[in-house]
Amino acid sequence: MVDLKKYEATFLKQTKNIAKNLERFLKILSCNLDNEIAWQEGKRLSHTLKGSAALMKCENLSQLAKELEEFFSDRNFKKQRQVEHIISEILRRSDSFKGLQKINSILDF
Amino acid sequence: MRKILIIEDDELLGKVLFDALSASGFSTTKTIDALQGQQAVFSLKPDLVILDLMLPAGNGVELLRNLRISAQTQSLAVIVMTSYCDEEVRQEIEEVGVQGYFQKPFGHEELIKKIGNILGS
Repeated sequence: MVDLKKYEATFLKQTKNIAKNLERFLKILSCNLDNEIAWQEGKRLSHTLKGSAALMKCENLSQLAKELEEFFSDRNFKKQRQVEHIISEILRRSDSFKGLQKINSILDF
Repeated sequence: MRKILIIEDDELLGKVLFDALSASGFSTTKTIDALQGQQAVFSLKPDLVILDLMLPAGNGVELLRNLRISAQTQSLAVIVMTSYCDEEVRQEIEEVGVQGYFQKPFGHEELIKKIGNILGS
């Protein structure tokens, strides 16, 4: 059995980095919806966050990451505000493992 | 000591696998993208590769195809891991040739058992 506690610091650091990058990609897309790299990398990073959150038993965060992944995959920029909100919430809580564990459950799009 | 190469962009999962495999007695190396991964295969000559499909600087499926094209790595043991449950991708992977396919999340004990079966250790 893996002792997940010893990976909390790595998880927090990775989550914060991912959220900052997603924020950056959203800003890029708000100026240029045709930026292929922003869409693809946004999808990849959301996908990574989904997996790592599930690994750390942060189910709500994993579900939110799935919503982000769908946003970057479907490219429906109408959901930009909701996605911004999710990302800023993740950033706000990403200094504490408990904070990420207790992150609000799925937002309705 | 058998050598295992992990090609996985998720730093956390890469670390968990690295620690688990190292503790199980394998000489383990990890890389974080398709380009580094491909280079590491040819420089390290691992006994087995654990390959994520969604990678930066390329993708896992393409990397796998490249390994199967090269005479040097045609028969290299590869275990693929992915979060996607896309049957088409799975069939494509199996046609190209893999020794194992793991849907994330999975227990590292299962993976180690599978590696043991493949390498006969």
